[in-house]
Amino acid sequence: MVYKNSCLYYGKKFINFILSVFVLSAAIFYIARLAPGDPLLSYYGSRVEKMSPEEREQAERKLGLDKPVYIQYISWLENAVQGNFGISYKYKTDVLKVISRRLPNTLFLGGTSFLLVFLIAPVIGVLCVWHEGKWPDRLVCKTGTIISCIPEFWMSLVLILVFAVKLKWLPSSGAYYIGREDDIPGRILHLILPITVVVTGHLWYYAYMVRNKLAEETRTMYVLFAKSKGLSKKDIILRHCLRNAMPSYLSIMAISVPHIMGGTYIVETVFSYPGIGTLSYESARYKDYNLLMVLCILSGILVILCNTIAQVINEQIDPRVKGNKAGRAVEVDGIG
Amino acid sequence: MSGILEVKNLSVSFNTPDGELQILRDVSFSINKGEVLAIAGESGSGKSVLCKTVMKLLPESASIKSGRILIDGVDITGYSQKDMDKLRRNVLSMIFQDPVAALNPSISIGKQITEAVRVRNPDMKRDAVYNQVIKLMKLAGITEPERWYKLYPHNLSGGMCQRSVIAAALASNPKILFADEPTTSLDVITQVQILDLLGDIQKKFLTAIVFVSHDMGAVARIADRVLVMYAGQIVETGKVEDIFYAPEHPYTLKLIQSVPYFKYSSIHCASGTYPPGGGSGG
Ligand SMILES: Nc1ncnc2c1ncn2[C@@H]1O[C@H](COP(=O)(O)OP(=O)(O)OP(=O)(O)O)[C@@H](O)[C@H]1O
Ligand SMILES: [Mg+2]
Repeated sequence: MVYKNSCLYYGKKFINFILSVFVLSAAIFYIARLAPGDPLLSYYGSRVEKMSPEEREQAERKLGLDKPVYIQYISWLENAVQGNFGISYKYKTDVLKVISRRLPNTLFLGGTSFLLVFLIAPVIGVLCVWHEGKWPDRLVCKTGTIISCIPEFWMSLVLILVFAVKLKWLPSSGAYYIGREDDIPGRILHLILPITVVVTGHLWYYAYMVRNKLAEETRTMYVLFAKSKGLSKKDIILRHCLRNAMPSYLSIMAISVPHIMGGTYIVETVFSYPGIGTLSYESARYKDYNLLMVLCILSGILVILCNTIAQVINEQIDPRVKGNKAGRAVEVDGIG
Repeated sequence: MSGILEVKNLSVSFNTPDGELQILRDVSFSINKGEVLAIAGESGSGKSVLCKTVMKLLPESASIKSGRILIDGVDITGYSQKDMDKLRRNVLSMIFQDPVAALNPSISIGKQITEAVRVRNPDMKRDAVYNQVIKLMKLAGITEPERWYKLYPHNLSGGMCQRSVIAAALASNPKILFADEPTTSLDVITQVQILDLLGDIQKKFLTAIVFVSHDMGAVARIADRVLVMYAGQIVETGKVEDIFYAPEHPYTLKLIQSVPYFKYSSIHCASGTYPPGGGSGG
């Protein structure tokens, strides 16, 4: 019974997911083609300018750009379903190959940043609530507000200026020292500044969220009762309040994945970090349609997936919500 | 003989945006071992604040302006929260008006009682703790405690939640139990059961109970002495019988009249007149 229900539940979520991705792909396909710019430019480079009209026509036919947009979309979709996403006009190779070369860089930058935010935010939140209203709390809240108002590109530039140009401690751009792709410590050095920017840009928002949620929990009746049992402040905040704040924190953090990834996109372009962010920027700029499609859909999938996960967390993990479905039966036969 | 709890000239104020608000004015009373002291009084008269002051559960905006609180002769007025933790583990307990809200919704009731046992006996073995929890649940009138152990507050009725809260409160083997309107949110039948349970506990362990209520019917059922509060002051105090049959303060009379039983049978029946229809007292 319960098994069947949860099958239905996840089935529905899955169908929703597929539909969203489908609609998203159609929208991106259309919008990309509406935007001004010449896709031939990315394939043929500056040669385009010297082409005769006939040559242009031939080139468009070769890339399938001569047909109406919906026909283009249908043939794209046919190929995509078979796992064939076409070639990148700029790199002249399979789109997936281009992406898979860059993806690990972004995953590493974004993943590490996310993990740091995910772990540090609750620590700051707990610290604030522990000293609620006192100077550590106020200090954290104030500096957090100020720092999160600083635009990421500006902070990146300042950090580059200080740590790369002035102090020469850290490299200013790229993912590795040229010619030393396998040099792991070198790669880590390249990651320090970008990660710092992404983490400080996002941390406060989530820490503040944890702080407020926790502070709200500390004002509840159950805290009063826990106190009257003689539980210490540490036990009450960590075992009672944090536990109750966790479901909403987890679902917020699920939504934050694309948020933080979006942050890495910007940071990547400032640091010329060879990841998905810079690739997206280039593909949009050069009208590399096939590449742009897959990148946008990947980002879209990430957003939709994370939102779905957040929803599932909200609906399934919290025993208060869960209990309303399963709990009543117990009480009835408990009385009899 | 001095009482187990003595409160002397206690005044408590709250800092509010509109300035300082005095909630308790010069409150003095004492309670002896094994005694049930009822605190009656209308809503907002400061009954809960009085209990929470002794338990030190008030928010930081509240402060003791003057007066002393003695437990077993020891002055605890200036105790820090850490000092109070020790007292709450061994001497004081409190139960609340809304038992469902008093329990953490995402921790099973068994675990919440376990916490109370464990915090008092940190070195106790797992099995011993479990047995103790089961024993406490039985004491609180939960039959088949093993079945209820794993359930969450939302799985339980209000009465069952209050029994769980009482079980956890008993873990400290309290000398003084504050019961802040423990029956107000329950249905009538459960109310009587919980009252009787508190009475049993008092007899069995000689626990002093501070029983807060504005239900004079409940007060009459359980208390030895009554203390009537009005606007943060104690306006009357005395033995239950004295207060009920010869109330001195007009507010006390009103409180007593608010109980249908007394209104109809004790006061009006004596003069032989039933109020027409009997609906006005409702
Ligand atoms: N945190 C607070 N800040 C300001 N005033 C408060 C606070 N808590 C309680 N009070 C005030 O203290 C007074 C006494 O409140 P208290 O809760 O003790 O009343 P009570 O006698 O328990 O009433 P009830 O029967 O409704 O529980 C009320 O006027 C209330 O407004
Ligand atoms: Mg009250």
